[in-house]
Amino acid sequence: MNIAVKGIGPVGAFGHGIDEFQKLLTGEKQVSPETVSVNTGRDQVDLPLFSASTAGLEAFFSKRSLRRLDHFSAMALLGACLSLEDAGLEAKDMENAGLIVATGYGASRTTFAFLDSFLDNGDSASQPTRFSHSVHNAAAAHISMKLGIKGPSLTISQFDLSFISAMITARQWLMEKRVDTVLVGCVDEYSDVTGYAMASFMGNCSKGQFSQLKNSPQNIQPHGSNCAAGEGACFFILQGESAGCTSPYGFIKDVDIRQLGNSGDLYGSAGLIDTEDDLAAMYNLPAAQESQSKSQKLEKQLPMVIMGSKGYGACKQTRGMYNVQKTQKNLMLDINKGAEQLPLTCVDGKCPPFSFTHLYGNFPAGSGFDLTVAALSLKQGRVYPMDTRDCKKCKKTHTSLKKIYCLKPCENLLHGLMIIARETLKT
Amino acid sequence: MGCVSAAGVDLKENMETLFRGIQNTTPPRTFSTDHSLVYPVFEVSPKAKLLGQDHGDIDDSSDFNHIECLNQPHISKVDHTSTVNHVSAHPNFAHLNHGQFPPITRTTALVLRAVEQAVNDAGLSMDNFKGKRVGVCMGTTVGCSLNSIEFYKSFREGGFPDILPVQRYLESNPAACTAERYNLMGPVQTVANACASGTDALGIALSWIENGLCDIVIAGGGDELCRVTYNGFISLMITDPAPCKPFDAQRKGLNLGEGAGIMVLESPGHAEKRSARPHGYLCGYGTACDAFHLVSPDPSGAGLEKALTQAMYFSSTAHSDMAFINAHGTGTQDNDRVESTLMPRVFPEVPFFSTKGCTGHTLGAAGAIEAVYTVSCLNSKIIPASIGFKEKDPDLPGIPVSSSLSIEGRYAVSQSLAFGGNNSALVIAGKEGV
Repeated sequence: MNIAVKGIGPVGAFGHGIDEFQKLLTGEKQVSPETVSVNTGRDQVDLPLFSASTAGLEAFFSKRSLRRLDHFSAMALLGACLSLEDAGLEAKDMENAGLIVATGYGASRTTFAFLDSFLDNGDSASQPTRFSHSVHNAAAAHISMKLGIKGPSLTISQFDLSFISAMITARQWLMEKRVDTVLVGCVDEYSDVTGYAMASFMGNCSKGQFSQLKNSPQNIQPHGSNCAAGEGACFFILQGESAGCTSPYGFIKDVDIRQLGNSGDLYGSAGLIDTEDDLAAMYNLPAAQESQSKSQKLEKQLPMVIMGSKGYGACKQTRGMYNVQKTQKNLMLDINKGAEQLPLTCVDGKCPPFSFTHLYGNFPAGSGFDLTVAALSLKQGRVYPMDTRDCKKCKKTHTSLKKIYCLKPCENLLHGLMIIARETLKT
Repeated sequence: MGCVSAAGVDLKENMETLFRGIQNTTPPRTFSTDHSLVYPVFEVSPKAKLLGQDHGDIDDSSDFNHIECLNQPHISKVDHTSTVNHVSAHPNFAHLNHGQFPPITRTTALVLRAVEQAVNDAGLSMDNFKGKRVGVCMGTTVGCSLNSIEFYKSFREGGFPDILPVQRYLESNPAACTAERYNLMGPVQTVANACASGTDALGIALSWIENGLCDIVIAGGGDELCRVTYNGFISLMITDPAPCKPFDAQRKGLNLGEGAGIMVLESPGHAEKRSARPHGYLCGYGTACDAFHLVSPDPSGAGLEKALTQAMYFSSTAHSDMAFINAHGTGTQDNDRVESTLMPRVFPEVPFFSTKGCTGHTLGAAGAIEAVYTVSCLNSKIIPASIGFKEKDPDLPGIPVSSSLSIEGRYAVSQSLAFGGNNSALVIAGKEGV
């Protein structure tokens, strides 16, 4: 079953709303990360951080009614409201909808604030409000209460695969007609502890690299040797495809999580990406294929892939990085070889796959932003440039763009994939 | 099926304890606490020999007696962090980190113990999983929380703590660990839906099977006892300082427990192909949100009723088909009131009970453990007394069963209520089938 994407609500360092996000992609809006200084005991790391504001929430609710909301739930609620607005829906339309929230770390600031309450003053001084707001499904609870959603409510925590895992269940609910509409989204917040962890993991293998960074987007390489921390929320309104159904952003054709093994093919019958037709359908190219040059054929064969890159780069010691080697038709994912080298072509056989992590930062919920980039690319019929890429073809407009793969490789052997396409069901 | 809880280290022992009505509470022994009152917990026995868990310091014979405990503030305690050591050199984990055995959390150790039992019970092995779409769906609460106290304590005091606890957390996701352990090739999902997580994980797994996404799903839930949830529930003033008494007039709240319950779910086609004899069937799943309060259920029970109606709709069953209801029955004022009010109205004459007096509230594991118990009870055609219940509460319309009861009928309901207003229910059939 194809799933129509009806509305999107992103919240991040760029601001909030789909229009602001698009400005970020076109370069109309530039966002520089702030710098967080983290001492790991070994290194003084200047960690670039894209932090999100939730000021926009007051357009939807009174300030008073939001006073108990923590940052985590506020980001999620704002994303949910924006996705409804983008879909032209109101809260009253959502009473029987399903709600799924994906998060890697949950409300980490509130979790540690709860720990503070009893570490400061003893166990009996534990603060109940902090505890109740720290549970992973607190954001879903706030969204359901504020929007009056009384259908199924679910929170999923699968680290980097949280959002893709949530999309699997959203699709199942629509397929079995449990609900007609699903509000699904992802949210993660930055905390001092996650920053320390990130700096420590990176410090182990790239000593000093962070401190050399200048905090501009140009210096945060999508496939380079450094990365930025991030936070944000991104929500989607999904509906099952029916005859005559339209969607401004396209349709989710497939969602999958698989363990590929140490040398599993991405392409082919055993891989995530199934058929050559899928690949060829990426571009609506003329029929005279025989006369085309080798590079033009390659352009037809290879899909546009948006990689959920962490931007760790060539860090040989960090566990779980990826070495992707391209053969003629197969893309081999070879885990644990040390480096995130991605020689997959975009359109001309020279560039790595697309990644936009450098625009919103690296955090578990980032897959939702990858899907937003894909959805906007289909809506606008264009490929957004990656600032640091030296590839003119990447910057050209592809009005024939039909299908985009969002791939998320992970530290273990599991990989997630979402395929979004522009075509609608033929009536 | 597999089951580990304070009631037993396997399903057989669990059911024996359940029918004997034993409340085997102890003081917290896997973490330290400075509460003036020591609230009892239901801890899994060291006999479970959980992977990577060293219980050498714990005297398992020190059964807890509440009256004594109130007057004995110095109960032997073990720091939680000292009990969560590196996994011993177990060959099954050799592939996880290229020969360096990573640590796993106690939650995941509980899950893996129950998974091992369930896979063996199903007559399956890793060979059977090759080339199949085998998914994993696990419910948990503590198991997906980054809340290592020792790590955080050092961090906030300006120290530079070793990153190992964070790495352990990242590498201990219960669903991902199970998939890695058995080299499974299907989807993985960890459900963090508070106390309904286990029920939801089983319901989602059912959906994966019914929609052809998987041939087999290993599903259920697990959770460990820890100082964070212990303090949290005490701070909310919903913890009973004595062994809990679900639905009783004198109930004062819940006791926390720990454990894991696992089911190996198989598509009918796959089961038939290998001539498997199922213990039972998951027939329908319903879930609905109260949208009412962060931690309290909607007193009207509307959300729970909607979940039950949905579960019966998807299973093509009716209220009158139910042999019994395995209630959530935590022992808190609010939860028990909602269930006790709704049960006689939705399921008139259908007996209900709670098993949390025997296991404690195992949070993300609870729904899964109780679903396993439900299958067992359907097959043995007898349900246990609602443990801890003695005195009828005049304010509660429904009365749970107070002694073991023979039952008839093919179907039963196992239901969960959770923080966030989540209500989830499963309609289950025993081996007699649907």
